[in-house]
Amino acid sequence: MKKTTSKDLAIILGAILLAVASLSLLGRLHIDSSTDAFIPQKAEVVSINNEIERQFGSMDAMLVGISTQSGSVLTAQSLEIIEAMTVQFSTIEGVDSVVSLTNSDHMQSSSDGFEAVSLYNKNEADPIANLSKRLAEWPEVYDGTIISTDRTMAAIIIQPKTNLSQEAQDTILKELKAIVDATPRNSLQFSYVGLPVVKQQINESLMQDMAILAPIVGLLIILVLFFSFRRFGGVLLPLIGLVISASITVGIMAILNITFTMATMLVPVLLLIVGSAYAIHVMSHFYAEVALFNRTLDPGETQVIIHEVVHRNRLPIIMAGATTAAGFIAQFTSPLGPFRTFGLLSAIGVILSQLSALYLLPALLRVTYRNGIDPNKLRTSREQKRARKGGHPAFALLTRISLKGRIPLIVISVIFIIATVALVPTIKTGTNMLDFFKPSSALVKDTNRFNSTMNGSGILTVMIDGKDPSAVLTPQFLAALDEFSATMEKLPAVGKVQTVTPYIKRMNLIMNKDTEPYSKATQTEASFDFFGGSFGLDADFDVEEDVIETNSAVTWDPQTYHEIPTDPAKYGLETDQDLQNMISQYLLLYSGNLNNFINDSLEPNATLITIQLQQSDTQILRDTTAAINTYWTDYLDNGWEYAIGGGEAIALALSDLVTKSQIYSLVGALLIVWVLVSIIFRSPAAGFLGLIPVVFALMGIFSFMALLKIHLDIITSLLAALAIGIGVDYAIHFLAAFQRQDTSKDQKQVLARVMNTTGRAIVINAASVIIGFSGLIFSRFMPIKQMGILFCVSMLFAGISSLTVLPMVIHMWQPKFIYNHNANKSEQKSITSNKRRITP
Amino acid sequence: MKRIKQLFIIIALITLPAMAFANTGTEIMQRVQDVQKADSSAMDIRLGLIESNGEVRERRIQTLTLTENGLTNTITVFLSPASVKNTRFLTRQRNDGTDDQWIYLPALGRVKRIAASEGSGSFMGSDFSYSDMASTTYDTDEANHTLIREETINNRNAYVIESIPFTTSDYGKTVIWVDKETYLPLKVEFYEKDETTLLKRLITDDIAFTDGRWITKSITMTTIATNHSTRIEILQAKYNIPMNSGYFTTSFLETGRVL
Repeated sequence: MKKTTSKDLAIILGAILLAVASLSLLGRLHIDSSTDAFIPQKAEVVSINNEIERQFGSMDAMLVGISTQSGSVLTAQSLEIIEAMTVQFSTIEGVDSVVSLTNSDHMQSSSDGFEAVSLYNKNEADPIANLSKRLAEWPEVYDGTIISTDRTMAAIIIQPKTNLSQEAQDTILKELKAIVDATPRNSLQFSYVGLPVVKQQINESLMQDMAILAPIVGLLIILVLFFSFRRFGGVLLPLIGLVISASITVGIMAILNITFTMATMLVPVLLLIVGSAYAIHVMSHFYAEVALFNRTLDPGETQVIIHEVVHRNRLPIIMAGATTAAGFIAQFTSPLGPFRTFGLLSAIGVILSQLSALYLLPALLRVTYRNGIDPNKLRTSREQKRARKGGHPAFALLTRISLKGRIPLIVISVIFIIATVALVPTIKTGTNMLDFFKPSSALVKDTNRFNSTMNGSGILTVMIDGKDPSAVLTPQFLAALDEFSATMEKLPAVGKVQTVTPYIKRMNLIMNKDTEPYSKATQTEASFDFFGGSFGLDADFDVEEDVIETNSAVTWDPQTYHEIPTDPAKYGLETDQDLQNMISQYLLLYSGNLNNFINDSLEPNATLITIQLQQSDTQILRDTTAAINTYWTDYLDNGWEYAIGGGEAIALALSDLVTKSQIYSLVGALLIVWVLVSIIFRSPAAGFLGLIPVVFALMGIFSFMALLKIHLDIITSLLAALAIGIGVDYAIHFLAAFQRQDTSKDQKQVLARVMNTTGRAIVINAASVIIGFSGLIFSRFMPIKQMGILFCVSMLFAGISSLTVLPMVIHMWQPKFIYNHNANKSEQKSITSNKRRITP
Repeated sequence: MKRIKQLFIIIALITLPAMAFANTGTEIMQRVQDVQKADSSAMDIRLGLIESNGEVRERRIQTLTLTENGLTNTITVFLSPASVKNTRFLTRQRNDGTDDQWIYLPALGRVKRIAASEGSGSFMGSDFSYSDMASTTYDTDEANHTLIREETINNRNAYVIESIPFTTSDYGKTVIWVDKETYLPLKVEFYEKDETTLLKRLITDDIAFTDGRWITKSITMTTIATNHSTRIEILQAKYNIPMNSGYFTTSFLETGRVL
């Protein structure tokens, strides 16, 4: 006896110590909940983006919007604020460049050439009028980029250095916000937009969300335990086990250096919910066994009951745990790393919960009731009354429905199946990180406002590589690039297509608007070498004169030079190569400032196109990508290559991977569960029967996803396999209960007995899981909130179908593994054999 | 455009002869600064832009610089790549210290006056950022120079000088290894504003005694984050040579002839 108690104390202390040690590792957890953490590093789009960053610099710009409720931001006061911020932003560590109205150069023609002047120069006369005039001169570059067309919003574009960690980017954002907060507002409104902002918000909210969800879910589980057992011990003992197994799982995450993503963050919360079901099983069986007696049980008798309860529940708990773990393990088929990690961790967690229910909880029970237990304190009068009446009327109704309602049940099921099949194709996939936030959140509002006023914050890029130096400067290619911009900008979601062509057109206009090209005689070029011949003396270079005929002046119109030069004759040149050289010479004047568009400042072989999107749901991304593919596949010659990248390309690739992952894990989970159930009952038919509640759970998930317009995303796609793993438990319990019955007796009686025992357990189990998951509704992240809703729906469907459709099919089909298996078996076998040893 | 001019200032900075002994950071840097002076120079320069994957793009330019009455004029001719061959660029310093700039684009066959405000960014896609390089702490009134140690680098004895600029610039700190014998910088490290993160590293690959003075023949600047580097090689250099001021005119720019 003493030996047992010290063994129990050792188990309890050991578990508590492990949990405390695990929690002490919390600080080591690395958090990254951007969708970047989900995309496999070997994915094509990742290497494309890396190559784009290598050649053209960072793409993840942060944008600060400055807007007025009414009127224009082009006032001296607003511009002073923008200027001060621009200066301060550029001193932040990790910032590569800052672009705004107040630090941009404007290119214009001067009396005898070209000048780059400040776009805004507060020291000149009438600076605002000059700024407005300059902005109007080159709208294709300025409008929607640093100033809105209606002039109500200006933007400061902050480009971080390449290869910055998420933490470094978060620090930049914090400093940006600190600067903005310290700035007098003067009725201006500030907004923060861009992918780094979204990522930072997710990271910042993740721990807070976890800190809110865990206590809420914990509280809900406490409520479930309280209403189930109405005893302090009945609440506390299971809870200790749950908290310990969840804590150890977190510790394992920290030790294995597993990144805390939005998926893995759910593991501890899920374990609290799933683990509570096992604990409820053990506790309810323990109290039920004790309640059979009318007198206080001595310590020895209590120990025997605990041993018997554990013995009886070991197999069901292991089976239920195995199928739930199977649902999690099905995530191993996913192409997404964090999903596999989620699967592994959850499976480990489920095993820990099982161990806790089978070893820690009994140890706690033995220690708590070491002096024996009085059953009279346990039974409520309602339970006693119900026991006398022979069951809850609801179960009588369910029994009647199962036996008599065959046709309505089949009709409803068929309608449900047809509806689901029709609805599934309407489910939208999407992993847009902005969609993680509530539409009412500041981030979503800011972004929507920015997108509707400016060119859009969603970015798709196209890198075109012509392989040879200057390949992308051929007049024909540049003209095609210009046409591409025009074509894409006709698409409704495309705000702007940024390419190098406006810069070339502008320089071409400036260089040719004052003087007609080659209107006077010129000579061929000499090959200079200051170090050759008589350099350093007063001697002249020996230049051979060769006068070229002048071009006709008849057609000369300065405004026609705002173009990509494609006609050599118009420029007094002979070949396309000459035009290409002219364009290279224009680029020289930009002194490497076009590095975001071309990969070499003089002879680029590759160019980058940036497509700004005002909306970026998956369908829009697919349509835009298709339009890009159509255009460039048709245009580009052999040897040329193009690749689509950008933040939205990652989102699109992730959406596809999520869909793939969903299909794999769904098929995987169904298969594993079918095999497991078939093995448990030694019958493939049992496997199929086991899938009935699972199929209903899945239909519930997918039809509600379609109806509630919930996207299939990185979180909601975890749900199906999880629902399979948990939903099949109901079928296993139900089938096992049927197997224990003497099926030769009256069907109604048999079913009524199963309904009142196992059916009741299923209802409690489903209710506890539903109540636990409803806690997720309090998440600030939409996918987690939606997961909570969908899980409740799926468990409801699984529970109802296992108490109606499943018995109906068993009754109709009369499978051999039930009806031939146990004619002589009695459900109470183990209990009666046990009771013989303890006299009531 | 100003950046092009600045390039030559930098090249001039690293091609200077040694002077007398100096022992404090400021004195050493003053010597480095003092020995830069040359009334005229001609240089033939090759730039190699080296991508992180090893791919190299070459540029070749020649420059003439002449200082008359305290005003410096520079002409640059682009020799390669072929697309910009014979592009000529002239900078004339005005009395107020600002510059007049003209460019001749051969495809256009015209000289255009250029007025550009100071910008930032890299020169011709190289790792040399010239608005940044303006704060390279060589100038004694721009930074606080401290001799932090002396050490041997590539078998040469060097002063190691830490320079912290007085006003905020793109670098928080530079560390310069100055050759004790020639007063040429052997190595320069450019740090982030936090003064601990290394941004770029300039290494002197080769020095030579040419035309009566020690010059840096080849330097390589590497941007640490991108592993992109640029090598500048001085193929030929001449100093203090007689030079016709007719080179520094728009007429030469346009015709390629000294009238």
